[in-house]
Amino acid sequence: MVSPLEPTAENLSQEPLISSDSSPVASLPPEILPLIFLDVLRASRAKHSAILTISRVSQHWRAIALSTPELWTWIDTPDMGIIQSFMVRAKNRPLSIAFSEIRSDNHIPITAVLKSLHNIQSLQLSVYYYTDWTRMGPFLEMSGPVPALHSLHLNGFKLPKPLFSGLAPSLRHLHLDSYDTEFKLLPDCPQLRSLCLIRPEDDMLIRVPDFLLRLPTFPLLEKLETDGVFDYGSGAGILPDPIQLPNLRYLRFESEPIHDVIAVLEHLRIATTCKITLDVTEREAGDYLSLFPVMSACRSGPTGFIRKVKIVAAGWVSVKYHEGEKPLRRPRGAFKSTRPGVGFTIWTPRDGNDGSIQMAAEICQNRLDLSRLDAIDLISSGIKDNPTPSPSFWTFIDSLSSLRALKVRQIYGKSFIEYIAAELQSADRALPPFSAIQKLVYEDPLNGADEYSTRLTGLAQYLRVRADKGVALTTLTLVHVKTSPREIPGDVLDDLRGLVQQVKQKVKGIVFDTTSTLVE
Amino acid sequence: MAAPATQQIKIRCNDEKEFTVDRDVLERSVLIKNMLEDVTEQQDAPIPLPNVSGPVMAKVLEYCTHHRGEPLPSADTEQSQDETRKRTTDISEWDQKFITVDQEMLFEIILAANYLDIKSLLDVGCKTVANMIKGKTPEEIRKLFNIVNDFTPEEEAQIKKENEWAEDR
Repeated sequence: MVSPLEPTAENLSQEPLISSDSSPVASLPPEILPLIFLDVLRASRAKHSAILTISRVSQHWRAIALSTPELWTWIDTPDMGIIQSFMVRAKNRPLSIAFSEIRSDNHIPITAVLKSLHNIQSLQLSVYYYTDWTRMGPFLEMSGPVPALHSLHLNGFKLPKPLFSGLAPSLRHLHLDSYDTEFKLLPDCPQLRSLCLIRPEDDMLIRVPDFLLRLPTFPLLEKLETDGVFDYGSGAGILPDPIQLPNLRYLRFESEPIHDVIAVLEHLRIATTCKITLDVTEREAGDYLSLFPVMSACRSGPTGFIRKVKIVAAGWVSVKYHEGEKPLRRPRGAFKSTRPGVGFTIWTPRDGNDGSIQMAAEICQNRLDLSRLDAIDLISSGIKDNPTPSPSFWTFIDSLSSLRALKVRQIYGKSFIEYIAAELQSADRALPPFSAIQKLVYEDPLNGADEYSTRLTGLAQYLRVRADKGVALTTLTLVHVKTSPREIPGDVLDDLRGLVQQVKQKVKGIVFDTTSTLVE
Repeated sequence: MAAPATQQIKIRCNDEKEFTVDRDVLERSVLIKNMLEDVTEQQDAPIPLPNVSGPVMAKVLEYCTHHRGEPLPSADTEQSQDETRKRTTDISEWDQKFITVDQEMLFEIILAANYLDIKSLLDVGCKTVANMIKGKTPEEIRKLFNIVNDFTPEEEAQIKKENEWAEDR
């Protein structure tokens, strides 16, 4: 409903948009305030609330706001009052709709906005977590044309068929989460730049050949992400010829079966500059190694070049490859789960390995070119009850001549630092380990960590040696390093504080994360 | 033929303050760039800028000097820039420090950027004001900018009623 206070086209043209205010802001010409108001909306989470606030400041601001239809195109609350008034005020400008936590008993707002489907440029709908979202499907009238649709983000919907008459000519960003739609039935999207698919219903998992066959219909794709969408084992079927995606600059697979990821990578031809991120389930972490050669090979141009490695939860690597003298093989049939792709049965023992360290060594042994590697990020990579690193680990470390930054995060049990401290005792070393590193981030586990004092003592010892050798760090970041009296006896705490003071003197810069309670 | 990068141009502000500036720095301003392109012969007389004062021009030139050499927005990049702008209201660290000025100077810079047609500077100014407004109530905004509440009590009651369904969401 349009308020009587709203200026009409006639009276607006007669009304001078000049405020009687003496404030500096009043000196701005009428064309500037709408720019500022648009920036306020861009910066605000609740956009409808932001524009309503602006329109209540003064007559002048209200007149400017009401005469700028673009300010009323963001509808981010499923309230019929707002929807109706905003749609009137937006005139025919393309709308951006964002409703979250939609419940099946409140579908009227969606039905109302979808009547303007042809005029929507951005549509973001998310159902309330506990809603029986399959009941929402009938209320989604999305069969009509969508000439303006630029971005579609749906979470928890069964999409109607056919969607958008089979064509979304302007769609650039497509994000489907917890959806119930066949991938191959998605509309043609010749302008698509970004595709993100997350955890469809079990019967909508995508076969790898279908996935690959569809990709060429998105020739301009720049960003591709999937999370738990591949039908387990489907990569073993008949696959198409190599797929060229020359514009792709970011590729991410999360919680996908490793061998299906390998099948996809083997058939992709992407630019050397494309960034690949693989977050597999930690139960499959042992298979990471088999991915590295494929990751290199799928890039056109020089191969075998990896600049940055991020290793997450790789705690099973050495167990798989080196339990005693005999390399292990994964038994067939051991990977049973109610849902393919996630939740595999664990078959390797968790303890007794040096996980990521061993893995890093094996990467080196695979002779990939890591001479330009400049950062390593080790996260939750189990180093437990094994005080002696593999000999090849130090060979690996010493070969990383370009390494400048190291993050060691969420390491349980025996600390990475302790490894280093032990290595410091080695008479063979002219320089301490990781001497080329300038930035070190050390993060303790959020919960369950113990032996803080041992770790911190080891860290201080390492820093002292580096400083003495003239290779001091430039930045040290400590995260989640807790030293509250509840966890550590008071006298030890005092010692630790003293140690940190020493650390401060030894490094050029020190950064304490806000989660650290070491410095109070 | 394009002028050499080192060519110096004189400008004169509305308080008679004059600056002699490298041409490529001044050409961050589309207004001045167009003026210079229209001049075919060497011109010694300063370019008059009647809408900008000396102190404000000094700030504007500080910005233009820092950003000299960066690509200017063209018609081709207009759309993609708009998309980028929609996603972020971030201001770079240097720009943030640069724009940390009193309110009067802030609005003077915005006016100058608008007049001189320096889009990136106008963006920085508008985003800074937007960040000041964000999250505040109407009363807080009025207080911040010294704006008079010129709604009649009846109008205010009506607007409040109109917005009731939008409150506390």
